[in-house]
Amino acid sequence: MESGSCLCGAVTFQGQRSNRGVGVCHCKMCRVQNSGPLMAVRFEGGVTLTEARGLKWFASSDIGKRGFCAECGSTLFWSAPDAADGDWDVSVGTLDDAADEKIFEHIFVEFQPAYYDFADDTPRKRSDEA
Amino acid sequence: MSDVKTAACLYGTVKMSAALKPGLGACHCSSCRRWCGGPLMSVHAEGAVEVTAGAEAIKTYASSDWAERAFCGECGSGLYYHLQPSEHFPQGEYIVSACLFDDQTGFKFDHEVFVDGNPGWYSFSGEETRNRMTEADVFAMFAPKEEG
Repeated sequence: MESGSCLCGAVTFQGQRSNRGVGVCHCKMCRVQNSGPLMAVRFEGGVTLTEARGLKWFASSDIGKRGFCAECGSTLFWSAPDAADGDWDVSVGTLDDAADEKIFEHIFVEFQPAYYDFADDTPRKRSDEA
Repeated sequence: MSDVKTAACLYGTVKMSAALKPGLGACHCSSCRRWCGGPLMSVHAEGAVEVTAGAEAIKTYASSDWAERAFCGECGSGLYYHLQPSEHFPQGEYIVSACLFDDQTGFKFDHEVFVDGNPGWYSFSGEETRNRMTEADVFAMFAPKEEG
């Protein structure tokens, strides 16, 4: 069972991290929200919130909404608009232990700015391939 | 005086402008990665950041004794990391999220900090082109000057 939280503890959660690996999204919305690409994982069976007093959702587009902590600003979750409760992508930085992770793909790479690149050789997918 | 660049949060509520020092950096510390889902990629303002719209939406969180993190309370966009005034930075220093800027041409990724905070399963290419500092290196930069 994995646990995770924002910086201040106003949002905490748990669940079973899938072994799929970390997806890295380079789209403009992820980068504007997070200063750079967003690195996220999936949880088998979804996320269970154990403390939610700080959780706020922002609908950033027709296809996604973003959960963040309104007290400390930590990015927590990304969700499709009609997803079941807890069926969210989870920011890997919020996990208490993610030392054993691995990247498995990069997506929306046509939006990646030229000034950075990652050293791994996992698949790079455009938005129409993701 | 460097060119002043404009920046905005995801929803456009908060707008800012700042003259920037050259060089873009990435911080790999666990706090930055918990805050923004990956390393914090930022540019340094010369002096203060000017908020030109949406100041009422800006929230801050004191993440340590020496800094606070500002974000938009409406959309969750990280805005800047503000080092509080100190001997080294009498006015403090504003370290601003790089991706907020409308014009990112000319940004050159030339330094990384808290590289020992990187969990080890990701890395940026071109490490040899950058100044890379550990946590100890960064704290040494800010250590009180020895009495002469």
